[in-house]
Amino acid sequence: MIDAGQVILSESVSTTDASGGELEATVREQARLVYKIAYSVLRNHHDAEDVAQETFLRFLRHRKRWAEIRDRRAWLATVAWRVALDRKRMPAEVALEEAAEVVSKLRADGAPADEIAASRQMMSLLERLVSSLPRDFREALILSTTEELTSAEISQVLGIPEGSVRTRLLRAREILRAKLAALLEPKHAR
Amino acid sequence: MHDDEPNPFVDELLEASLKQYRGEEPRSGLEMRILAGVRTQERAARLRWLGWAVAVCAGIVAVIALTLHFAPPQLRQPTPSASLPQPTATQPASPMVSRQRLLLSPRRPAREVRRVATRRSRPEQFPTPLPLTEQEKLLLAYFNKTAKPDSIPGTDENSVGSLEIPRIIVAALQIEPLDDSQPEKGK
Repeated sequence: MIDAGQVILSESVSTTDASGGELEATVREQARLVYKIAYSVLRNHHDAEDVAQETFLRFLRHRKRWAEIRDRRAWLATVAWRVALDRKRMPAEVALEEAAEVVSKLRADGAPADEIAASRQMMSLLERLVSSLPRDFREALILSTTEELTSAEISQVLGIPEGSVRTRLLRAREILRAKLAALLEPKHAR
Repeated sequence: MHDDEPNPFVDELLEASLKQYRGEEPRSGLEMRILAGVRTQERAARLRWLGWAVAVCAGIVAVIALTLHFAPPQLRQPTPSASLPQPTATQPASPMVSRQRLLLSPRRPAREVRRVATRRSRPEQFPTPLPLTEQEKLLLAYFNKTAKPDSIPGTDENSVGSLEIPRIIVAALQIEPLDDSQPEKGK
């Protein structure tokens, strides 16, 4: 597997001339970041890999201006973010009441929070709650969940001050907490 | 309101869910797949660009070929200088060109010779008469045998002097004087 990968790498380097080596190094360093940003938006492995590939393809086609890019990491994060947003489809409708009922039942059965959080119903519930957030809050929260970007980098990607990023993150969490608490009230666990 | 009340379970559940929300780590070989995909797409893009370039070049060549094909004949005829035989050193100069002039202008001998060749090749009659065909030759021979121009009176230039023309006598006109005494009949 590694040998095959090395062959692919060497072949790709030879086909992209002198920029191949730099591209390879950049892919090795930033592929995980790009992938996680794409995944945080699309919630799908295949789509995230496609977006990562598209991001690095744009990076390669932009090679004449590589010297002008001050922060290559932030540049890639921004491109990946925009490409992923372009590809994002409307999330599938989740039966909110049904998911909340399952989560409440798990809680009533005495399941720990980690176990409930790992359940498919809880993931569906959280995705629905995140998608219902206002756009500004949602974008800051999604980028923060990648755990790859600092507040300063998120502010670069979103084009807002760093203080605004923190404020939006805080506010997004408050909204999520309130909505989750309302859903898990005993009246929903009938 | 219940929103303001601290709920440790909800906080803990939210934090745990957000950790899960981060998603799984990328599958192994992500970098290889990305590079392979980038290489493939870049190559395809180059081929696409090359295809467009070839198509455009072919179009230009086709336009040029069509333009030449449908151009007026005089544009397609080669210039006289191009169709004329190239002057050689052994070729003698025509008497129409003064040898002295050629010697005085050593820079332009080729042009002079070409001019001479043009003069020589210029036909005296335009368009250049074609050689007679076999039928025409036979017809001409037939006329030479059968036609006798001497038998046609007046066609022989030598016989003009011996031709006698009878004298033409014209009677003198007699004009009678007008008679004014007669009444005017026409009125």
